[in-house]
Amino acid sequence: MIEAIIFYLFGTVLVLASIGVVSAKNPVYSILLLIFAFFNAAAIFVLLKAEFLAMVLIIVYVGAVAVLFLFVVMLINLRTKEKRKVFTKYTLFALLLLVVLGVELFVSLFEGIAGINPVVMDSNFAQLGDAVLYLGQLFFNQYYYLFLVGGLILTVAMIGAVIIVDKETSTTNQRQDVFLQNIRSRENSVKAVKVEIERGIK
Amino acid sequence: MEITIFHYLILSGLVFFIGIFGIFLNRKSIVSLIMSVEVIFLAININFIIFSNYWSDFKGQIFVLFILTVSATEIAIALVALIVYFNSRFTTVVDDLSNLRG
Repeated sequence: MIEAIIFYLFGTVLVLASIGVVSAKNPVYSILLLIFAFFNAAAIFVLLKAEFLAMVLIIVYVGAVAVLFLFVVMLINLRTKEKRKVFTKYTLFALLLLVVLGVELFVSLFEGIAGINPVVMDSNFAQLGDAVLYLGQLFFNQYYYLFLVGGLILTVAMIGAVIIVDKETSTTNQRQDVFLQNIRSRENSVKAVKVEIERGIK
Repeated sequence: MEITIFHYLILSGLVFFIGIFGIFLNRKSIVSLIMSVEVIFLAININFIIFSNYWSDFKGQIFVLFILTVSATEIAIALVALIVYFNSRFTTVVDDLSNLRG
């Protein structure tokens, strides 16, 4: 009973917050609603006995990614000058596609799950003892190589991001080159020309 | 009032659907597109955890950890690209991307 109340409470708020994320006009509100949605999803995770991932979602996603997102959006100072047109010439096609997708999604959900016994969600995780310990053992033993690949992906992303930004700034920054500055002489930097009338300087 | 796997799956399906709808709705703004993708990732994570719980198998949770890693990477790269694009064009409208030409 208490599970049902928690599920309906957080599930409803999660769906409403997601609708808010995609429909808010101001991107800052959108991100704040996204953070709210992440908190509600973390509550759903706890209900599904994935407490560690709930904490990871809050710490990594809300603490790092969403705040980074908020930072960038405030940095680039998005100002929506033009009013967003809700209905364009593709809207009808998009809605049709969306309806087809939704029908497919839910039909396949109900058809696919018809064979499964819809038991009450009750895993036997508790029998395993310390769930985080078990998760860590599985992660660092059986999925050791995937762990390495994950680290590699993060490294590549970091280096890539730094290279992109460095390339961008090095072409626009005008750095001082002391040697070039010192070897400049008056003879090869400045010259006097006679400007012809109505011709200009080439 | 028993909460079965159906309830959880319908919840994650709804969130996924809202994310797809957001992509259609906000085709103009890159920031909104990235946020819709975030919502979709959230729905996928919920789905993995549902079946992890259903089969009492921790592999689903491990996969969620990898999804979190990859999507965090993707967000970082996307934000860098967004900043670089904004610095060169002073806009974040998707349609103007065709002006870049390589």
